[in-house]
Amino acid sequence: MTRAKTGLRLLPWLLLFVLFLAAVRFTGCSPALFWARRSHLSDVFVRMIPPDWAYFPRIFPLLWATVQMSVAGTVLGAFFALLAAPFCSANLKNPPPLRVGMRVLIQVLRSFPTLILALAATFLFGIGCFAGAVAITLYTFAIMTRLCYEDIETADTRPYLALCAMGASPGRAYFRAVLPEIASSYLANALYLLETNVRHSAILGYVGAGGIGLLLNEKISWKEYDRVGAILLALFAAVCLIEWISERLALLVRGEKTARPAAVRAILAALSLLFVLSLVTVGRPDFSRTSIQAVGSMFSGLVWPEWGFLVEGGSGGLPWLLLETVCIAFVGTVIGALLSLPLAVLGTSRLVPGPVALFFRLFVMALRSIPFLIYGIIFIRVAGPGAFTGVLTMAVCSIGLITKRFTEAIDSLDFRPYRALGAMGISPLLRVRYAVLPQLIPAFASAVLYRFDVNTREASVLGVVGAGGIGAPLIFAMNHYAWRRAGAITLGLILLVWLVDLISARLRGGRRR
Amino acid sequence: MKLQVLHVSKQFDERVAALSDVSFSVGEGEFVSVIGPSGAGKTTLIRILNGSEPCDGGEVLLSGQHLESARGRKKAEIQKGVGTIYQDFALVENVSVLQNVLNAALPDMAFLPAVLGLFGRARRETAAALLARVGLADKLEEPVKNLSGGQKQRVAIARALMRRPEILLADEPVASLDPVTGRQILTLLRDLQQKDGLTIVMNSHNLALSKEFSDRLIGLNRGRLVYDGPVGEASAEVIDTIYAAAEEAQV
Repeated sequence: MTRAKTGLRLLPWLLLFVLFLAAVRFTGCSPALFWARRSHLSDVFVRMIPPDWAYFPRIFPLLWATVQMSVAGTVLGAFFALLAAPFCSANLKNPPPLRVGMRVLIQVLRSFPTLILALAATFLFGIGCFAGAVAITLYTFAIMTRLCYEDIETADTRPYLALCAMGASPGRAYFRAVLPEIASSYLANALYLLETNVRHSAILGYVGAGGIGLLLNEKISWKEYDRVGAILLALFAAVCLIEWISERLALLVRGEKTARPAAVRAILAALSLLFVLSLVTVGRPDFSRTSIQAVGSMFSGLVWPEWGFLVEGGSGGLPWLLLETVCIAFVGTVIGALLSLPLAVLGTSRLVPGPVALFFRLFVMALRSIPFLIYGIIFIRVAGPGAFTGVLTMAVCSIGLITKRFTEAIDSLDFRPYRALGAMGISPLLRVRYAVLPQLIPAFASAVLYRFDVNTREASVLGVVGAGGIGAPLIFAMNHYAWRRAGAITLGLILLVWLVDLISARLRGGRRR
Repeated sequence: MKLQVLHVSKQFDERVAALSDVSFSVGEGEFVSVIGPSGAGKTTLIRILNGSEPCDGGEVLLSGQHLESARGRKKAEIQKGVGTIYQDFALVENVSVLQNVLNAALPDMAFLPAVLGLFGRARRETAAALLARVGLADKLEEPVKNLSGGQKQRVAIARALMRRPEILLADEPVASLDPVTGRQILTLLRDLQQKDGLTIVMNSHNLALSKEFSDRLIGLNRGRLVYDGPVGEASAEVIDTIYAAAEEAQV
């Protein structure tokens, strides 16, 4: 009601701006450097064209392995999530200690980027696709369980309680009364994750977990860019295809489209065939190099980490590395969001002519289909090893998701208040400020916060390609079997992700009020 | 005269005239209902009266000022004197009630305070007082999306009043409300007319409500003015001419 409150509203924005500038300094971002060395960036892309067409036959087996890992991992992970979720939900009957335990487990699993899970899996199951599939399964399991129990907690549990009161076991009541209610959201999430997982599994080859990543890495380090171009093109096609299929299926799942029962049966049969095929041919684990002692020291390292490293000061210490990781994610997310804004406007057929919108949508999709480590490798040629490369990578990686959400928000804009303010003689600029932005900002903010959450995790593996952050020391420690140090870094990472999660949940909750 | 409409015509495509040669005037403190079948040009008329739509011929005078021929800043200046409420409210849904009403203060503010949202205490108090007037004193900080339809229309009325309008235009203000709520809104409008001397021009497809709440009826049919007179003089025959032609046209 008073003027003080208006002033206070501007304060968080000011604070955010100051934090941003501090983080920019900390990560050593230098637009001048980027501009001076921009030719190194265009160079890479120019040399990818034309791609080496003859190379495609070599690509397909590995591309199939990549898709295989993600299909098998997504289905298995989603299935286990369905079983685990009721034990995490506060509104269903389950023992509270078990619930707390499960939630902690999920939160811990969620903190690991797929690449780290895959690396750990290669130590247990040997090099190959099996390790990759395990990593994707664990990752999917963690995310799906969480999404699932959040859905359950907002679902109506009266039918469930009624069935329980009739003497049905809680398990049966869950399947009969709760599942139908969350089914469509569950399937939509699983489909979305399938898309993400294809991109994720494309880089698992980096740590020896199979798929196309290995080949990609090799071709980039050998500077065979025409072949890199061919691989990226194949990957783009695969991602487009999967996105197209999953969008179709999502329409069916949400009930926005209907299909004949026969068609539904055919689709289900095709999908199960794909899944079984993926699962059966994913390769056997290779235990020849795993020993009980190795596994034992791995877990004891996690349980009893190197405590000294947790609080070590200076630029090599864990706190400093974690701060660098967060700063990379933060600056990258902000820059990505700023870049997404014009792309989102240009990508809606509501504001620009149809062909223009289509072009920009395809452009964003192409950006999205390239795995983020590849950006790291490309940007390192421009910005050199260090956090600045990480920032650039995170910025470009954020564009895909944020633009998509922005576009959706713009598509659902209500223009009536805009016209109503126009009829009062208010200038177009102020009309946008008061009738358009208030509708967009909540959706924008939640997209950006969500992406920041994801970026924090992804920034923690950027170190693999030398792009700063905590990733390099972590993978170094793992490859040298320094499990106590890896344990310390892991613990730091878990705490960091948990903290970011908490903050972003709070901010999002605060928006809703 | 508050409002003078002189020979206004509007054509959207070549064949059908949305409005042809419509002339009437509205005096200070009058409550006029524009009635007619759908497609008669009622909404187009309102959109021309508040300057959202240019007309092809004719002139609109608001308190003697030429709205139609005005452009840019001059036009905005005249538009400030017009308040409009809509069938679908046209509010910003996820913003508070108070903020929605304050939006109407924007045309009077300097650029920088307007962009930063520094409305000042006086404007906030005016807005709060208007919201109390329409019966929403306890909803100031509520997001509009949490309100019922009737409450939303009250917010829209408060927003229109915030402009201290010379005239209030109402485009089917109760068409999307249930009958009871609709009567409450119209009672509020009549109260504003009788106690505060507000001039009101309302579109309506509900003849009974128009007859009950307004002083005068203007009948439009396929873009032509077919009746202009007091409610009392609108006989069954007159009503038939307003609506009958449309049936003919539909056949």
